[in-house]
Amino acid sequence: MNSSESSQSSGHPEAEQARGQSPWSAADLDESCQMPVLYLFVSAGFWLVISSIFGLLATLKLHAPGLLADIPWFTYGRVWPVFWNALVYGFAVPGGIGVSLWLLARLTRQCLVLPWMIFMGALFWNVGILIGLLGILSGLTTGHAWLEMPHYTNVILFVCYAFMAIPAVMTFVWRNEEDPYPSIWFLFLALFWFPWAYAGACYLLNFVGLRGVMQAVADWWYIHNLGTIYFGLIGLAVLFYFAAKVAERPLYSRYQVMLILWLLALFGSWGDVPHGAPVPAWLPNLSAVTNLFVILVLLVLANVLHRTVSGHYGSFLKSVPYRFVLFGGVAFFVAGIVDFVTAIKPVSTIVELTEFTQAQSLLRVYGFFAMTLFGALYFIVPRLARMEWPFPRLISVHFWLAALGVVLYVVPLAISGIVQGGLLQQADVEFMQAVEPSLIYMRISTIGDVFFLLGHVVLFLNLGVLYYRYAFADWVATIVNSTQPTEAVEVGA
Amino acid sequence: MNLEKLFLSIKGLGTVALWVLVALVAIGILVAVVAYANRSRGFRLFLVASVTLGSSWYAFLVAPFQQVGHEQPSVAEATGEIYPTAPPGQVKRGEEVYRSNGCVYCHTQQVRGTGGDIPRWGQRRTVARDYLYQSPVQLGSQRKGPDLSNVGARRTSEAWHLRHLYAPEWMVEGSTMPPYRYLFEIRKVVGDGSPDALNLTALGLKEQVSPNGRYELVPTEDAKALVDYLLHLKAEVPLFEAPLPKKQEKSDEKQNKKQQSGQQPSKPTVNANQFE
Ligand code: HEC
Repeated sequence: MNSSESSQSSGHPEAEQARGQSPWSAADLDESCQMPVLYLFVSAGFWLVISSIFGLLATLKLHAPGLLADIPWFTYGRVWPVFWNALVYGFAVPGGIGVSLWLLARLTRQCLVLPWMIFMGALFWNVGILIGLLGILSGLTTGHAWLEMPHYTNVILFVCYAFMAIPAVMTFVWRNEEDPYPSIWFLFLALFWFPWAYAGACYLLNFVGLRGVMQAVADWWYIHNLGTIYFGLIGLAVLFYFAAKVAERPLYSRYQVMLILWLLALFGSWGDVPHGAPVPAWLPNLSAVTNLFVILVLLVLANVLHRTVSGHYGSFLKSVPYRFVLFGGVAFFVAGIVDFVTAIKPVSTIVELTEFTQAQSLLRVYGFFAMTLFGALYFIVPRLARMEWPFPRLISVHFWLAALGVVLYVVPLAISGIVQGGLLQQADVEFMQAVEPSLIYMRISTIGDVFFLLGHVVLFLNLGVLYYRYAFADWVATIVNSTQPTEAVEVGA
Repeated sequence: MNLEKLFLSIKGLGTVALWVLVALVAIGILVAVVAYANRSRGFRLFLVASVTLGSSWYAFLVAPFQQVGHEQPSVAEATGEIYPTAPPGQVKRGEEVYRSNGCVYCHTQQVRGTGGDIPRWGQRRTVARDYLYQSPVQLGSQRKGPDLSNVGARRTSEAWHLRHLYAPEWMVEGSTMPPYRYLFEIRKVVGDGSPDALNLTALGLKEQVSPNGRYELVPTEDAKALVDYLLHLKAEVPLFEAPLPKKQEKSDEKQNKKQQSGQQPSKPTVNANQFE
């Protein structure tokens, strides 16, 4: 490998596997990803800002119910799903794809195949998101959690995903690496997991139509497969990549990493059916039992990561992108432990159907996955664009805003949920009496929302300016050059 | 269990199974070909993953489908009463309004057997059978507002619901529920006025909306449908899998109290006990 940055120390994932022959240097690989991945990141950053504007609006509405209440497009029940869908489908999924593509190219040491196809997929994905969010705002929501966008957007998103995933699979198949770094297997599985789960759930819910509570069961199944498995697979792939990179040491054990993959795939997809749900009792029990097994994932993961990184934890603090990844890793453990505890029936009796669940989802989707993605993004983008960040200091500002935001959002809402759930168990407490004590926690969590918004604006500022410089200086120039008439004549001749 | 018969007997599932099968086989062949050419570890990974996802798919969607999808409404032995029944058109329309405005983000529609739900929000827990005719099922995951499975039994007055939708904070002090004023119209009184018009004096809005009585506040068809839907929400009929617990004095009393305050829509600072 002739890349200066990854050949120096043996710990770097790319260097560790540099056994097979690849005609490509790291710079070549980056260049092949440049156009689609940068676009994916910029648009993800854009949706993130949109998402947090709506998120903030939704919480403000809880304090001032009359706010914008006379405009149907901005009623709470539409603003909230727009916040969540923009976060999940606008940012998390495409951001995850972007990071996967770069990691795939780097770790298979194969140039990304058909970047234009990926770019088109990403472009129309964003069109799909726009249509979907407008659909929700205009009242066309399907009413199924995490799948609120109208059914025709399901088709758009699925096809666009295929446009992005097929070149990724081809890149993998034509890899120049016999025994690639284990992160690859996580990414490979994730590539398939999303379309399976998404198509399955959308088809059943929006095209066939299930009867009665089966709709809710299908929905829980999907939420769990997306939130825990898909995000988990990509997030962990990033974690493993950075663990070895930061510690400058090979992964402690590849076998244990593969074990994590299997445990997650085996026990992770068994749904999230809450204990009290009006479904046959064996369903929530099955969910709970498999949830308990997921603790094995945490144990093995802790072992691998600790033995890889121990003694080098300090290196994580040296650079801001690494700090994001560290935060994400810690949040993964916290989220896993919380899931484990809330799978126990007496606990879930109190906290389910309260704001606790909201805190739990946010911890997983944002505290773990989005934070890990931020880290990867801040690390990858300058390498891809071969440019420094326009405002390097803002990266650290974003870190603090995001980290404090997660804490200020998740902790108060979790407490609020426990308080409210506890009060509602007492028959002589009126409902509004049980709401009142939790209001103060909701107010605090609004500060978290404000921090998120500020952080996303800061991120988008950096990304947007960088993309502007990249796209309108270099890229346009290359297009102009490559479409010069002389070449066309040559082809014709 | 006779799978084939099961598939044929349930509308829709046959097609679902077929499509899933076709898709899996197609992807499988594709990957097999690619993997053969490539002898990759990816193929093994893919196979095992499809088996796990497939089995969770089976356990979560097909097996309960069999259990729930076959469920029929119950017929009470004594009275011959059928429960649940397909809701009338107006209620269906109300369900659409409920879905489209996202009431589900604050209200659940499920009474659990635990967590203090039963005396508070229903006589018994809700079970799969209660939801046979609902679509989309709006179980909800958060209670920023009360559970609504039995709101039609608890709040029986149409007028109360209309006023509450227009101005929740006037009906329940400190309510954090957003007002749904866009489901109402303020228009000039024509002739004797609309029979649906809300009682502005009772709402305390006379001064604001129409001090001289020339305007009236009328619910749209959507608002009326939504209220019909809310009044229809009852899960009280005892079922084999969810019988009613023995009646308790206390909960009866509470029920009456609520009913009363429901029909006396004054500002809630006036204690409901006053009327007893
Ligand atoms: C922001 C959260 C929120 C949204 C959205 C919301 N509600 Fe509410 N709702 C509440 C709260 C809080 C209460 C309790 C205070 C009250 O009765 O006003 C409540 C109470 C109610 C009640 C009275 C229940 C009882 O037992 O007294 C009904 C009926 C109701 N809501 C219907 C609706 C409908 C219909 C919608 C959608 C059009 C809706 N709500 C949307 C928060 C919400």
